[in-house]
Amino acid sequence: MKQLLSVIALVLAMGAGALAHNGNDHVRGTVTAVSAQSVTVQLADKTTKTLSISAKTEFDNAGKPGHLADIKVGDRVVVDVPEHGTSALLIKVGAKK
Amino acid sequence: MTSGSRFVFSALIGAVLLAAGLAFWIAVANGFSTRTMPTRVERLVMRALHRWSVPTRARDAVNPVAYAPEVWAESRAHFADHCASCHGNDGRGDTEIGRNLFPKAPDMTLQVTQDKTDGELYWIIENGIRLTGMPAWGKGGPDDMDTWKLVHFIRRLKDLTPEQLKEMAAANPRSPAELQEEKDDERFLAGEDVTPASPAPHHH
Repeated sequence: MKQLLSVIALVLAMGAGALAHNGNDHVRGTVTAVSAQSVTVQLADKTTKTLSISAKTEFDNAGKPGHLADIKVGDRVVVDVPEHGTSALLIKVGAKK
Repeated sequence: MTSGSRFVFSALIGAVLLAAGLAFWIAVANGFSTRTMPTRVERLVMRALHRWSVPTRARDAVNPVAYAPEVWAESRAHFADHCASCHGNDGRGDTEIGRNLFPKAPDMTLQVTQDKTDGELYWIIENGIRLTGMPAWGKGGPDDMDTWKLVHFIRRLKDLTPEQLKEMAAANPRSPAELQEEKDDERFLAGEDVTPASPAPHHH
């Protein structure tokens, strides 16, 4: 039993760090298109990803609660999406210059 | 026993053995995974084990910590740091670990959990649950005030506000790689050139 508990504790300890974002992926890039339904982001490798926006999507504008209207083409954004998913959970918009 | 009834009895034994052998063969051929839901038999056995694992005197224990907003705030931070990796900040168990444990981490907002006494919840946190992913977090004594505060937290899961859940998310444990990723995100959003977008961190 001690061995079993040790293994479980080890698994939990390993997993604890891996879930810092609750299993979400980050998409980091520059906005190339935005609509009420989606935002398209160009990544550093010049590929693009289109992520869907829903009523559950949250917005963070330079550290403050934001809105879809805060996102403009050319903005730098970091988008939280579920692992292997394309639904935007949280869109962080960088400070405007 | 007549020869007829002996035949029926033997046939029944043979059928049971055949079914058991078939079930064993299917199980061995397909292997076992924690992704599946426990079978009805497994659930019955587990629930019985849960009930028996808590001694009567512990089940009837009364929470010695009086509820106060500060107690709730403290327990939220505690839960976010120690429990949310499996249970989720909202206690619903919808996390990568929680979903894939066997049995799954429970949705603690449901009656199955809420119907447990304060003493049962305390005992489970302190002593864990055998043959599940729930470890013993305390020393097993009856007076760990931090654990009693967690009992208050579990009782108020449905009262959590979006703001409180955000605060808890900020208090969730992070690996060095994730801390670095967050720093890179902040630098990127501030307009700095960051090493080409890091591939998504490995989540296992």
